[in-house]
Amino acid sequence: MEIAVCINRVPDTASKIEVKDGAVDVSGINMVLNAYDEYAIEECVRMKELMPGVTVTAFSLGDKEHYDILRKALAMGVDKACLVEGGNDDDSFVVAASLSRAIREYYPVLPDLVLCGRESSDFNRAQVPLMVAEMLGIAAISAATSLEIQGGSVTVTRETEVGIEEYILQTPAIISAEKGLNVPRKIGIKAVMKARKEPVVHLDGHTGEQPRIAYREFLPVNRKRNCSFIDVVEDLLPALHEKGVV
Amino acid sequence: MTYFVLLEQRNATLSEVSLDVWNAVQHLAADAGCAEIYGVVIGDIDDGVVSSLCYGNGQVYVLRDKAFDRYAPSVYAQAIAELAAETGAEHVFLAATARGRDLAPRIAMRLGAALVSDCALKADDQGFPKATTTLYAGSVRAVAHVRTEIAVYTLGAQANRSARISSSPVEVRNADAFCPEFSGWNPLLEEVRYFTARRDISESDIIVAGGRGVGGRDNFVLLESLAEALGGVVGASRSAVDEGWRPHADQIGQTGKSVAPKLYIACGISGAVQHLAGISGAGIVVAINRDREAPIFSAADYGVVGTIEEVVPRLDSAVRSFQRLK
Repeated sequence: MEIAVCINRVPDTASKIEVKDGAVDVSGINMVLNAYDEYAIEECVRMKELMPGVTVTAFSLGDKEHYDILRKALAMGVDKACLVEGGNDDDSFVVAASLSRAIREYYPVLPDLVLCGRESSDFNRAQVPLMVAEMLGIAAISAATSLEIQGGSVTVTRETEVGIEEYILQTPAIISAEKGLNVPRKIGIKAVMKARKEPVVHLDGHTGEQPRIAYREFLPVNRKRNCSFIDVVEDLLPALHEKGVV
Repeated sequence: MTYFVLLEQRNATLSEVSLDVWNAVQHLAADAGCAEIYGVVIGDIDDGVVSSLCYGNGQVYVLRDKAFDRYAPSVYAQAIAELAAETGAEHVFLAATARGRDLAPRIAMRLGAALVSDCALKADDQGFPKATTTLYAGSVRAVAHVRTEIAVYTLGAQANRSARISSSPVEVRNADAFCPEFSGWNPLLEEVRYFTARRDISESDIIVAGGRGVGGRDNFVLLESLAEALGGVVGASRSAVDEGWRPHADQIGQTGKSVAPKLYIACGISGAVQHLAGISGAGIVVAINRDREAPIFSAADYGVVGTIEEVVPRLDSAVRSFQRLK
């Protein structure tokens, strides 16, 4: 069984994002493997450990700076790593097109499963997994909190506003991973050293597709509020009432 | 200009969040000067229910067919995309719910459209929708410029609900022609285990949220009681969820939900940037924390310094006696 896992490199969630001259200043930001992608990788590696004959391949769109996250995926237990070169990595549509092209190029037939994180913690659009599914013409469910594969079908659950939904998908299928799907393993120094020596396959991700959205007029969101300290708790009520919230 | 809105049907009525989208689009159309508005509801719902909930200009199509009895994303997306194309819609709007987020990319791809997720809308000088969204977990605001002829938008929760634009109900029509044939449904929703006695935090007007400073699972009873007195729900910070005190579904912040209640009471939450990212849309923020220097206070409108055990029960009884007086 072939499993592909698509991963992304994002600013560390603890980084302070600054806006400089109307654009996001990414200098001085520590880039890491997207947290949701760790759940996706962990799930693939667990399937590999549970079933014989599973090969897991990681794909990441970007330049050689992405070697670090691909090596982290290898250290977590992924078998092979592919760097997808070319393509604008800011636009979900272009990213999805590049990943779809790379997946089609790499596999003679579509892999049984493609896993992704629910969203990247930079743009938080949660669009790419479903767009790749549409481009590859396969089934997809996003934000999975549990996943079970049996023969040619996958049972997936996810949480929505009203309850827990359970879906059955026929493979090939794309699943995006939500927090809670698993607890990603810690990796030891030995695995890290070994992953450093693994080769990374380069794939062409150019598609000629143009971005469908341009984000402009960047402004920092000011979260600062003027806090009035209340000494006697009971005095909160008239204040909240005045604001019309109670 | 033609606008198209998905109205979400739940238990034979329309969900409040999608009615918010409908009303917001009505306002947008009024600001834009001229626009045709179409809505679509999928599933078994009475025309009377639709016309009692949707006001303003335009027509709402109802698609009833046994093909829609169970949720199959590709079947729903195809029907909506076909109907939107038939109306000549240039702008398609959905609420940013689990279902809206699930359908929007599929519809956008089928329409060759751009997809703007989790945005807020205003009309620009020429009457076009101007979509503002936040990136980097709510720390940067940006305007999404659409480069395609058609765009699909999911609208995030707003602290201020859009009011009905007029008291005239919309015209409700049948759209049986857009019901798909049975064929290769993949995936298919097998089962829904509904939450009982727990309301969704992203739809609540009042949230009482607890963090590590609550001190333990049992102390959340104090927050439950306060939330009940206020008619709200209980949420949690990442630390409280990681401790196993609350379920994942209740987590607010970067790796949880973004919320926009009218009132947010943060109890024992220090105010890490990842948490603040999830509450930037909140109306009034009250922080209760024993550390006066906690960063949560600089993101709050009102602050109370003290432990959860002493402050929350007092606030609880103050709320109850205040409501008796009202």
